[in-house]
Amino acid sequence: MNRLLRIAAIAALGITLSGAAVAGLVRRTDSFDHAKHKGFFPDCATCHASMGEEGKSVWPSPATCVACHDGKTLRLVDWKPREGPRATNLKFTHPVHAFALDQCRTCHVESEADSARMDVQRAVVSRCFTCHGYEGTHPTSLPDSSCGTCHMPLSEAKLLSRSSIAAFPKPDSHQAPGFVLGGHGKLASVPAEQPNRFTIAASCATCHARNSCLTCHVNAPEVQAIQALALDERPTALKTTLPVPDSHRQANWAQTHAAQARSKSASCAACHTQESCRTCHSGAAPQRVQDLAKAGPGRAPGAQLARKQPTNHTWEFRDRHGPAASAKSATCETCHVRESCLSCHRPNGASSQVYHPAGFLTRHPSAAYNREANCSDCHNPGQFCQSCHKQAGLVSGGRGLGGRSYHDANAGFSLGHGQVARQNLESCVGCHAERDCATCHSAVGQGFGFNPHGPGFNADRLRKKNPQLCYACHGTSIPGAKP
Amino acid sequence: MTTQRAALAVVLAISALVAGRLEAQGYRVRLDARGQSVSYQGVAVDSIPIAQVVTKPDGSLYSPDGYAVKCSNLSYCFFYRAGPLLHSVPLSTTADLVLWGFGLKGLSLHASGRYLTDAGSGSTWPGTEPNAQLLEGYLEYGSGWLLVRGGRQYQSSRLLPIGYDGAWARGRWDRTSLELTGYGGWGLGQAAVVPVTSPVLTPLDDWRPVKRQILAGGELAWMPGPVDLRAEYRREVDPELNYLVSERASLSLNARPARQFRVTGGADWNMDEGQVGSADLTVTYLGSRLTASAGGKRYKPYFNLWTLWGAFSPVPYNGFNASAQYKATNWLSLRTRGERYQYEAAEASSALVQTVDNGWRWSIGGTVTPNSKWTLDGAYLLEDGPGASSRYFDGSVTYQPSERIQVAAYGGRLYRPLELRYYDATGNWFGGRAAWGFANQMRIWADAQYFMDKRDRPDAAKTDWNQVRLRGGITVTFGSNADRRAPLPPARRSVP
Repeated sequence: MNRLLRIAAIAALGITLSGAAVAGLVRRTDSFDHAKHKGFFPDCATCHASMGEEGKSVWPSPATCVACHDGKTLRLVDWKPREGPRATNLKFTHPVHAFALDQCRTCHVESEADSARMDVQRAVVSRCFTCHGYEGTHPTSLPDSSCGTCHMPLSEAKLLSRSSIAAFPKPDSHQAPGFVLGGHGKLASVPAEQPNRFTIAASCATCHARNSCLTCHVNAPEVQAIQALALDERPTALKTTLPVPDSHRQANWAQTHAAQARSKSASCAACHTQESCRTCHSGAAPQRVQDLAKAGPGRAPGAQLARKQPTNHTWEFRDRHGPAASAKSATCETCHVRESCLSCHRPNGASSQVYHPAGFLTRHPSAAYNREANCSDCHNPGQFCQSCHKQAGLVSGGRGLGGRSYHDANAGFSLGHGQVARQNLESCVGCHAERDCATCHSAVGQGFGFNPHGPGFNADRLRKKNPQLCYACHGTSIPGAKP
Repeated sequence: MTTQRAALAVVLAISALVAGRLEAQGYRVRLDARGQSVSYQGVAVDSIPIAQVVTKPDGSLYSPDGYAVKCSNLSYCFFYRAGPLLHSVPLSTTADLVLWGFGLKGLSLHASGRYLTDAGSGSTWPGTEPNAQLLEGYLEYGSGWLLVRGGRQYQSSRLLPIGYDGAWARGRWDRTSLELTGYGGWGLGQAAVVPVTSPVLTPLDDWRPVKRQILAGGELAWMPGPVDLRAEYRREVDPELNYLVSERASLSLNARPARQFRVTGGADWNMDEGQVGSADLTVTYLGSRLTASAGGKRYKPYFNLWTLWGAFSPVPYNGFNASAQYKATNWLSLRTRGERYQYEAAEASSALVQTVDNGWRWSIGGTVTPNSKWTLDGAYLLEDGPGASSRYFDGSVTYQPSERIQVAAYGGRLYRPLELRYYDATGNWFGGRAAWGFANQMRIWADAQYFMDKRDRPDAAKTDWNQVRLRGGITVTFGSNADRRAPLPPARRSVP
């Protein structure tokens, strides 16, 4: 029993709601049944006498209805005409169409041939097209240029609510591929009366205001066509999203977008602010980035990016970035501020484990002897190697053969160090001053004159470049030099 | 120091000039303060009269307290005992400043300075002198195809990075894919912020020029699409004697012959000596799971002509290397790298000292990321070559519960024998570090490590000591505009 009651209640509720909806639909269509009253009125002007007069109501007086619907003869009708302007964006007025006021059926019937007297309805939109010369179905397939014929700019239709605007149908042209990304701009921007100026197409202004553009266009304040639109918050009820162009989805877009940006900077400026680009371009930004608008009030957020590591930044890139950085330093500066470089290339004595791993101080002889990396790219040999070795007591104090014998793994190291020295001379320099070596290798003073010049030594060339180098060991008696 | 004061004066003057336009000023400031407490122990030379030398049964000579000695003259014998423990507390504060919006579009001011000091038992830590260091400080103007800079700058290049006080200009013509750069000024020391004449660059009192070198250079780059080819020339002159300090040229290549391949390389030409200097060429494959590279390398030390070192004819080594990283699964990544090298003939071999002239390096590692919060990493390295060898392992476990917090525990072990001295080191360490981004653009970090150092020798000079190393720092970035890692500034969808 209870089940039957529930079913009956749901059915009743459904019928009630359906009836209400149908009733509402009917009312929206035409609450006054003209056809039912065709026997009582000789012509339209009987009720709509002021149709052609500017500023006058098009509706009959309620007293006209009450004359019959007085509650005694016929049921009482408490209808009252609407006061004030309509909530519409139609710019149609009857006085403007005064030439046809005696032919109401021209606009208010689907077909004059197939309709009886007073079988009228609200204006049939297709009848407008017949006179105005348009072909198509409203609103989807009409040309974009046609909207302004009948519709006023949305910003002037002050009484339209956000919900009404949200229900605006979407024209077919807006569904076309590429319409959002670029296509709509070509349609929207039309030459203005002034030379070299642009304004907005009237059709766009029918449904949109400047706020519609501000949703996506970060460069809206700079675009003439957009500025030609009035400000109005309501059309933001028409939801839009900022799609990602197909080109941006390419795997190497991060590497190739620079060329695109240079050739199509205008399209970048629509979606990207400087800040958008500075997500990655944190250093000296390219000119194209500097030309973009800065984010801030009055602009859309635009494209919001996330920084991704370039593919060539592999696990060992830190150790091997030198050649690439030398070849394309400007590319590095895209993401890295110069301080990033200077943190290692001008080493911070208070840092540790920034570049070198833990324990490197102990391990560094094996890396430094054979230059796993070029130490002097970042460390001044005097300021770092020599000063630290000096503090640690690793400094030559003895002169002459034998010395103090730090290199005690080989008894004859002082005499047989030549190969080691030529292989790892930069390591020698970490503890030895030039005079340590000149003591034996110099050809003047107390030097023994042991020739240090080895393979590839080009005496003539070096003497021409800088003879001071030669004077140090040879004095003024440089072999081969002209006196 | 005079140069630094001049640069500081320039910065202050510019700041004063633009003070009236501060309402339009854009700026970014990054402050980084950090320090560490660390101890180290070296050696100390000592000697005894030859009469006190003790001769062991095998003929070796020792001091009475067990140190191996070497008697290089008839009076005294020398030896190295363990040096004193030196404790250093290097502290530094680095400030980076970028100013723009001076009313002239494209004009900006860049400055980077650092204050360094050693608060330990003595100024023992390298690189802390001078205390105030101007790393960079220059005005930059960019307009379309032209970019110019004036002031103290840092020049990154294949011909060794160098700093200078001078001017730099770059023109870029996109249609022809050409880029021309020129620069010149008074040079700084190699990898230093002070001129070569500064005493801090010659702690051993080596010979140095009297005046700063004047450098000038230029670079021509051709960048047609995936290829970047550039040639550079640099010349340094001693203005005191008008002699060359350095004259070099280089070629660099960075190309993408195919979508997944990169070729990087180049070579420098030592015009002083008329010889090829260092060179390298690497081909890299960048796959979705596998990244691999192979290449060759020639390394030759370079010395300026105001030193004698170039006259000792250092020889280069030539080697080849390969590396790979394979992302086996979404949570496991493996990596390896190897290199083998051979020195060219030094023509100075001696029966007195038998040393090797080739070597190799090899490392392997792996990273496990079971989820977005945990990372386990381990690496093992072996290297064997002239001078020294090493065997190294380290590992770490990192927990990152959020983007702002990171905690890690780590440890490692190292064994490093030397070739030319009995002083084989063994190090073991473990520790932990943490980083916290406590606010937007503000990060604080700390690291504590227990380090065990053992130096092995067959005499009394061997050492065994432990220490706690502490490190910490804070980094703050702020400014009038977005910065790296900063979320984009809020923008409004509607007009007020």
